[in-house]
Amino acid sequence: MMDVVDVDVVVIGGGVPGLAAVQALALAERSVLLVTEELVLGEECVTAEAWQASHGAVDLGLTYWSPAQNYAFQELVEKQLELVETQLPSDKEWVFELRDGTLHHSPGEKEVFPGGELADRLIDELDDLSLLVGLDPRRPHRALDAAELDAHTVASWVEAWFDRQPDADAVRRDLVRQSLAAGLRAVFGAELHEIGMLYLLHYGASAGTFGWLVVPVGAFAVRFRDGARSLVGAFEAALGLGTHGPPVWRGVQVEAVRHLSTGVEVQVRGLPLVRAQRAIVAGPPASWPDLPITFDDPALASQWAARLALAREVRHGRCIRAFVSFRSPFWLEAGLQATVLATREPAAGPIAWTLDHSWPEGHPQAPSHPYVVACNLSGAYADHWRVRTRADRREAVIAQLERILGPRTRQELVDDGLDYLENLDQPGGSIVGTAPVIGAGVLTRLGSAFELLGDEVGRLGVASRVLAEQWSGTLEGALHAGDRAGTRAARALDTPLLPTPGGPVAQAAAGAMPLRRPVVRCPARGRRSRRS
Amino acid sequence: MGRGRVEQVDVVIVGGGLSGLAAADLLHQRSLAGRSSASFVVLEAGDRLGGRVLTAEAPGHFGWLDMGGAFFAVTQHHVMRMVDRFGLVIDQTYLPQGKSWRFQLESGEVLELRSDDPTSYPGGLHTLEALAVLDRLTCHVRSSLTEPEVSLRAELFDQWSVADFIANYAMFSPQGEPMHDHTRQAFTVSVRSGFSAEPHQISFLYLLHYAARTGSYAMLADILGGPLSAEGTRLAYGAGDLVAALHGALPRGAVRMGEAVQRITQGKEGCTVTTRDGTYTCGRVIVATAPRDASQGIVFDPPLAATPGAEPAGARRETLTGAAFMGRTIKGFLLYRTPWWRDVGDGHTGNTMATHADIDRFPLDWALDHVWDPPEPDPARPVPPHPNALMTFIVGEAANRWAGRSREERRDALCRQLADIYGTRAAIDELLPDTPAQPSYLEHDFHGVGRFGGCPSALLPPQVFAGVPGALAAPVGRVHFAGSESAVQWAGYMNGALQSGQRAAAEVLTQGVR
Ligand SMILES: Cc1cc2nc3c(=O)[nH]c(=O)nc-3n(C[C@H](O)[C@H](O)[C@H](O)COP(=O)(O)OP(=O)(O)OC[C@H]3O[C@@H](n4cnc5c(N)ncnc54)[C@H](O)[C@@H]3O)c2cc1C
Ligand SMILES: Cc1cc2nc3c(=O)[nH]c(=O)nc-3n(C[C@H](O)[C@H](O)[C@H](O)COP(=O)(O)OP(=O)(O)OC[C@H]3O[C@@H](n4cnc5c(N)ncnc54)[C@H](O)[C@@H]3O)c2cc1C
Repeated sequence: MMDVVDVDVVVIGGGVPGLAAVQALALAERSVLLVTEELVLGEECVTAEAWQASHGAVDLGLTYWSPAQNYAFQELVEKQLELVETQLPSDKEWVFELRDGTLHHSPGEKEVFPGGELADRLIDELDDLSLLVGLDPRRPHRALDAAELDAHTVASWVEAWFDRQPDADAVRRDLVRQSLAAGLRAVFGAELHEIGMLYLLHYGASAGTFGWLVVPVGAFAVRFRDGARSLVGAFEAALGLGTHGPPVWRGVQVEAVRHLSTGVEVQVRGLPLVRAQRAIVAGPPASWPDLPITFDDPALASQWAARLALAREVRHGRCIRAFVSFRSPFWLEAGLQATVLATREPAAGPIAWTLDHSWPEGHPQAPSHPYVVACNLSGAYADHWRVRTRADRREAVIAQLERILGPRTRQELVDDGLDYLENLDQPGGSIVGTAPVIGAGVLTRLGSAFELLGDEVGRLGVASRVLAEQWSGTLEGALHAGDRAGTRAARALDTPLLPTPGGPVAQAAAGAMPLRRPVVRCPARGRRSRRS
Repeated sequence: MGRGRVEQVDVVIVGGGLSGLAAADLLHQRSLAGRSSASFVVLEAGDRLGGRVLTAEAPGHFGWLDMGGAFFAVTQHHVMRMVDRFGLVIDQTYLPQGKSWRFQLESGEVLELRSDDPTSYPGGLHTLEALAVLDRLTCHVRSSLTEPEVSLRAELFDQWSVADFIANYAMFSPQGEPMHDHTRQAFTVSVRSGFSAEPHQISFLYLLHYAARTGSYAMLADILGGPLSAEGTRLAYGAGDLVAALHGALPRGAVRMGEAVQRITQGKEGCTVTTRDGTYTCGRVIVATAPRDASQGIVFDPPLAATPGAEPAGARRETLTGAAFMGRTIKGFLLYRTPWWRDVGDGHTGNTMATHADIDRFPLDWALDHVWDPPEPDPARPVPPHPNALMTFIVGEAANRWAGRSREERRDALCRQLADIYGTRAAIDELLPDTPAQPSYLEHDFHGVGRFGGCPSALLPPQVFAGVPGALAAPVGRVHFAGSESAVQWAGYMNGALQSGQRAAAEVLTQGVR
């Protein structure tokens, strides 16, 4: 006779959305089993082990978030994690290295992009459009001018926009094109021609505005002091995953998911049959078509097929994250932040963007190598450089930093062999996945599938950051999507309304630490307020 | 019934508050861009624009005091976009690190709180825990922002008032204990100042929903979050600057004041909007008011719930607007010679919470430093001669009781209470001379003035909200609804007003005006 495991809900996929779904179900006091093909939970959170002792936490995958992301902030508070602010001193300049090698310096407190007035106007226009598209966050395909916007990639839309600007001569167009491409590479790890215009606006709207997405003090303002893995560890500990809490089956292969009128059966190779009331698919959309799922009801099968049509259109950005370690923050003495955007031809310079990844000055627990610059080879740069050798990449990254931050770059490299690290060095350090990318035409063509993406197909729910109404595509979006799927499953299970006194809900807040939301500098809309 | 002139336009916008102006602005900007030709008028019942935004002058003292909507967070993106677009000047709430603030308890005892250490008073840690509980519950609502009614335990939380949550807090408490008394009082003050109503009046689900649309309860209630908190930033020349800028961007004659809409008739072909003096025929109507239709004096013909083809949406709206109520605030400003509170002891921010049990003698709920000190003032405008304002709120039950007394009585009670709390007569003696021509205490009560019903925004009592998905924003036939309360984000705030107005205008444009 076959063994059978009975649970209320089985969650398939152990990334952040899966963990958030399990947490929501645990808070609702439902029994849940987490099944993941990966060996580790929270696979997208990769904190470099090789450098942990010497450099502190260096994140190779998911890294940045914003204190305006309230769900992530709640996790920070409840799970007693610490954050550090990205070093963006307003009295230092940031640098844009243009395609022709010219260095454009910008004051730290302002976002002055190459292209001046024309670039400003473009940001205004993108902010206005994203606010319009965001008026109905679940239905970007029904926004004003949706069809017209969705007919364009960002690349083609911006050319059409230039044609409407009397002052957009060839020189200014080129500068603004470079600004936009660099900004979106940092966000998506993708190129302008890969990204649908309506999708960009929807994505920007979900973060507030386009502007909040691209400026460092918006979406890149903070990171977990002890690395993104500390978030995953805190989830495991708080929920007792695999110990006193929900069981976890890791590194397993799902052979069949059978949707029946009475429940969902999940067959995992070599393990007992799982019989659940409901299931949540928490893997990325790209993995949905490979899920061996069958439906008892043809109507549900066709609903799932419609979701898959959309899932097949969700591509991913690419990013090689390369870290360079220095003996001192010499750039500060030169009046610079270590914030760079660059648009050299990929062969001439691998860096797409950088941020200072150093430990805050004067921190009591500073590691021996506190000064690190995170360099990102994103989009076309990742594509070009991933097939080169590590030694080539290292040399090219350092040579480019030298051009931008000055000759001290090489002299200040730490000299004990711990001066360079990249996500390709570490197992699990994937370069794909930075952000989901949807091309032109998809949202309007598959709009109803998009609108329904977060709704169940029968007993099957999905959790992916792509479908989050707020902060789509980010850590925050992943938390929202997981919570939503878990909550909806719990509701469908006739969850008793009253929580058990002292139960999971009460325990969650037990350690809420005396922590203040950091007083952050924010993308100062209003920064150009005195312009006119 | 309507008499006199009959005018024909594509869209009639009812209400000249921020939501109505934002709707008109979008329609106008679209026609300037050649993307629409929809004609429109804005009909405002009152003799001024701005609705719940009202910037007043204290002659000789201070030019720009917001008697209504004032503060915003930098994540109020629609407001921030307007700030940028019109070049409005902003000022920040005074929050230096290391200063203290004060909290007067029901017993009259005064707690001293350090702004950089929220646990610096008895019960402080419990308050943080309770905030974490509230925000965890808020997270569940926030993850399905457009459908709060399907959030975790929505039915339970809608059966409960906020007071029931307080009473049942032990269920959520890590120690299984009732809410710490100081925490209960602090939470009560924040509910009063956030909603101008008492905890037992408001659905707990509605509070969570409101917090979710703001971001979190901490952001709603806690000024210490700086620019991210709902009270972090204001316009240096008053929120009226935004109203004036939006008005200035509209074509001449698009706004009619003193036009109270009495009836909206809709048929297959279009609508008729009737005011006392005129009749407007149009394709679509945008009702941009607080959602208390009956008391806004508008009769819908046919009744919303009987609008052919839109009965469910109409019925849901009637359920909600029938149950909605508004709180009451007497918002005031005390104008001082010096910002004396900044110098009490080791320095205070002026942030003052109070929940004195004897509200007949001690009416204050909340006070906040409102000293005028913008980092980049407009050189073309005068600097206020007396910029040292302290903003005061008398809310909820205290507002009901104190509304019947005189301005001078309220002024004196507030000054005495502040003197009590800070242990200094400066709160009384430093007040500038208060004369009819040059008052040094200005106040406003939206209750019973114009068509507001109260303030700051419409609220729902228990047992209504959970059953009515998306109802406040849903159009009913040819009638669309704006108004801050219907917004997806920052409902009840100025940002929600702008967003909802644009949303309604966008609906009209996508569905066609005829
Ligand atoms: C280099 C890099 C940098 C990033 N930087 C940031 C950042 O700075 N800030 C930020 O907010 N986000 C960042 N992200 C994105 C972050 O990973 C996501 O926001 C989020 O955690 C995952 O959301 P998702 O729904 O797309 O799931 P995915 O990441 O697409 O997948 C979730 C999980 O599903 C599981 N899974 C995968 N395949 C299968 C399968 N076939 N079957 C079942 N389960 C499967 C895996 O465990 C995976 O972790 C970064 C990602 C990368 C790769
Ligand atoms: C004391 C107070 C403090 C506040 N503080 C803040 C704050 O700090 N931050 C913040 O963001 N928000 C605050 N608010 C809330 C904010 O002001 C409102 O959410 C916002 O202004 C509402 O705009 P609205 O257009 O939705 O409605 P309203 O401003 O109410 O506009 C509706 C308009 O419609 C008109 N009208 C009504 N009925 C009719 C009719 N039948 N015919 C014609 N016209 C009609 C009314 O006269 C009014 O002008 C506060 C409000 C108050 C009252």
